[in-house]
Amino acid sequence: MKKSRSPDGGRRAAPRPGARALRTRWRDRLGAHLDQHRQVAAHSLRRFFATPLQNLATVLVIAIALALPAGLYLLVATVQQLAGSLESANRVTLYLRAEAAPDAIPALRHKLQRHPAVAATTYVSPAEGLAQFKAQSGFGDVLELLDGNPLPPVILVTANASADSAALAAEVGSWPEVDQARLDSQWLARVRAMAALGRQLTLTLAAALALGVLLTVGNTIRLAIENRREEILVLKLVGGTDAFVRRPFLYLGFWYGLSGGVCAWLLLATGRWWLQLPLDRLAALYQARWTIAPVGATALLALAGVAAGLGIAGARLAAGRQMRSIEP
Amino acid sequence: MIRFEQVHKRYPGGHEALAGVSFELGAGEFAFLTGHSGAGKSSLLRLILLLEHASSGQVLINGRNLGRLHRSQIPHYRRNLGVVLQNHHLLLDRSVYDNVALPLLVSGYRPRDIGRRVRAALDKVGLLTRAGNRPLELSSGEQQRVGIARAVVHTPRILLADEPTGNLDPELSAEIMQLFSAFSDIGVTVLVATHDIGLVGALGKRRLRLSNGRLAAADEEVAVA
Repeated sequence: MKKSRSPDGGRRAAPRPGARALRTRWRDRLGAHLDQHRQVAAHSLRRFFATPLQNLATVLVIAIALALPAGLYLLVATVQQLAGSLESANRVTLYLRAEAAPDAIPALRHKLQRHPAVAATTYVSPAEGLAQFKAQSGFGDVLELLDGNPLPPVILVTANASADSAALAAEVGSWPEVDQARLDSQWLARVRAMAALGRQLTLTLAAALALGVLLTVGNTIRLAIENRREEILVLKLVGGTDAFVRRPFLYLGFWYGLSGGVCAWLLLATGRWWLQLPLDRLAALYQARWTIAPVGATALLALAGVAAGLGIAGARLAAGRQMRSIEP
Repeated sequence: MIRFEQVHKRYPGGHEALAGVSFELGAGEFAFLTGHSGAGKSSLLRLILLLEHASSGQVLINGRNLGRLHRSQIPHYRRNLGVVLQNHHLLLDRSVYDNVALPLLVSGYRPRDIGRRVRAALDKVGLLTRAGNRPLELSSGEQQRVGIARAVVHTPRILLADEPTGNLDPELSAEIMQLFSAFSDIGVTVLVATHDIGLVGALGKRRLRLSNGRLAAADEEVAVA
């Protein structure tokens, strides 16, 4: 052991006892505070990765708890988008009388196109209708057994965006060449009502699962605190405040939440990719293109942010009371 | 600096560890606290550390009554203390360097200052070359020296030690006491609880002798051997 120059290393000419930090400038104190945060964040991250398998279970629970309401939200958003696109098409289907003379149909289309509420018309002949039905329904073989084509000629009328499509359907439905005018608005109303219910369900589920995430992180942090009781005692013995002692656990909660959020995003992105293909097939049957709401960078940031916040909150709840009970 | 006024400490169950203890230690004063096992030495140190509260009487540090210290003020108060305990209280999963740095970390020192001070403290106790080791890789005596380095690294105003040389050989014990003495020379109040009467006699410092919770000799100056 070396002989003393001065007790603190001999670098001060006239050393004085006491907490030197009190005399440092606020900028130094802020710098030290940030340094400490960086160190604690890095240290807690190392601890987090030190037991990857143990932590994986917790992270997956968080991820599933977040992915469920987020997935439901995406589903509802997709249904809303779908209903919106169908509604915006504003289409009235005119089933013409089978006995309508073929040369009357162009005149009827011409009459429709001059109507102020009509944006466009499409004529589907019985033969075209039958071909489409064969292609999309899968009943082609059965249709071959029929003596003739049972389908009527059809005109698809697209109303102007500002037009009252129900009034248009009622008006043109009374024309002599038209057997039936159908506005498919009832099922759209059902879809809209279901989407609204889905939104409420999503919110309820999100709240319940957010509570689940808080409890999961809280319980994990409580165990971590118990495992590090000796360290907490020593830190308090040398003057560590509750905030200082609590900080590593808050960062641990943050890492749990953040990784849970990222995993939830991965689950969602994978699920979206998995479902898009069958949805494309379904959309093709309706001659439409439906896309599940995207799971991009914004979703990643939102999920990671919410999850990290829940992680910190869960850790804070768990650490707050327990920390006060551990005294040297 | 340290002032006890008729301090009693009774534990649940009725055992009275301290009974009407009064004494005063000035700034920079070095005193030994002696007495048989169970005499109340550790209880007295625990009162100063605020690990316990006095049942009655007053403990005043720098004129502040510890009994009136708010809970939130206790950590800041403890930062002015250096403490060496019998069971070293080292963090086994951290290096020697990290253990010694703890009082500086909690006080908000910058990394460059922490490095300088930790190296100086480890140099003083002869463990600079073991800075990267874990405590379990050290002998009991070396662990004790790590505890001592941690106690002095932030140059506390009061240094408390409970049997600090219990695991050290006589030569090293004397050197540690010289280090404590050097701290008292720069104004640090040092209170060392020990059984080692030889050590007490060798330094010729003030001795507070406890017997069954009572102060038997408050101002006994031990003759230098």
